[in-house]
Amino acid sequence: MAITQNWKDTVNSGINDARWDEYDELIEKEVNGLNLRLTGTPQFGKLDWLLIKSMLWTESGGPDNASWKKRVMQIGNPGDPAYQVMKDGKEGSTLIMDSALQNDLKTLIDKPEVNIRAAIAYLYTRLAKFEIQSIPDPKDAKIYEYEVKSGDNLSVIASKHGTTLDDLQSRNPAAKVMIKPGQKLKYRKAKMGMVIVGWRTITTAEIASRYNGGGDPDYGSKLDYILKDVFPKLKRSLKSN
Amino acid sequence: MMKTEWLGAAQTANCATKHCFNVVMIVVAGLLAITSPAQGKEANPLNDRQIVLGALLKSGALNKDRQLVHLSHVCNLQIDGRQFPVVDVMELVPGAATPRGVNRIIVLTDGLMPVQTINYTTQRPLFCKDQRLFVHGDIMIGEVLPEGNVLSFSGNGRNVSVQQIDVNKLPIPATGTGKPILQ
Repeated sequence: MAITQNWKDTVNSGINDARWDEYDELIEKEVNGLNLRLTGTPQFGKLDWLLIKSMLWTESGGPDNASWKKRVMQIGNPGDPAYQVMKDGKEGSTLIMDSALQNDLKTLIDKPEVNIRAAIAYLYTRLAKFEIQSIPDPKDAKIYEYEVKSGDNLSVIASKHGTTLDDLQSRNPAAKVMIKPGQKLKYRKAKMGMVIVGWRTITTAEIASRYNGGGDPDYGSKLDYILKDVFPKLKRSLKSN
Repeated sequence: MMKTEWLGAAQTANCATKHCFNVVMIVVAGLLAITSPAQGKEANPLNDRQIVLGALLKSGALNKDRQLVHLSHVCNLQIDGRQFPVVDVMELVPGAATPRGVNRIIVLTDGLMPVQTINYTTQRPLFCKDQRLFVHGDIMIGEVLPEGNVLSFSGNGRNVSVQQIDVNKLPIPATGTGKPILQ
């Protein structure tokens, strides 16, 4: 499909209109913060804040659109699944956003600042790869020991002692095959939970698929258009500070 | 219909008597009777999407704030001896300048109650084979790895696992073999 001329005209109007840069500082600060916080996760590649700016330009309709001073990134529009995900802390989003944002977006999603922060966190959430793994209790590093009794099985032992099957099996390799009464098992308190195990390659096509959900077949092309054909023509600096 | 006319013409050419003509007319009438339900179905096709739509609305599976832009009955899974229709639902959330897509594969019971919902973005559900649903592209369950292009269902559709298969080795025959996928 081709990008409509009407949409191009709208974003092209931003070339000479500095109002389109109103949220630059906020975007750059939020992206830098998340880049710093997530740097230690596997395969993490820093996100360029200009990608978010291009998403803002793609989605908002610009400063003359009513959404510019409200849900500027459209998070929380009626029927929007992204808002539900972030509000409920689903799909691993709690590993991305901080608790302040999680609280703010419940009641302040119509504020553009919160809307933009929610959108950024949602994008990171959609680009992260998650797995369900055994997570050791960070408040209890003690290694416990349990003596197997007749009739025990690993799942029941894990459940009764606040640990996981994975933890028991990893600390006691012989128990993967069988357990017998009198056998001593080591374990640490743990529970199953989501962890970030990697990241998708950050491309406009990936953002179109994972963030936009395939709703706009031109979403990726629109991001490309703004990044390659519009931003280079701006008559002002793209750095907010 | 063409076969009916040909049979009638062939037999008429070999019969000169009134009796023979009557026999031909009976044969023609019989064949018409056999083929007429199929013709009626073509003229008034059973629109199972309306039935599925009604069931999805009744169960609350569809969001009334979104635009339903696509609804199709993909195939029927065979799980534990029962049939489970698979439907493909694509919705849009209108925005200021672009819509967001919400695409889902919904597995229904034979009573059309949703038992499993799987989100996807740009992938597509393709076909069912037994308890497996093959998809175009890789899908995750609940946004958790692993991801793959084969979804395998059990437990009356409530359990689903993901596998990966080489796209060049999909377990379906060539269409010309006369055994196309219609499960």
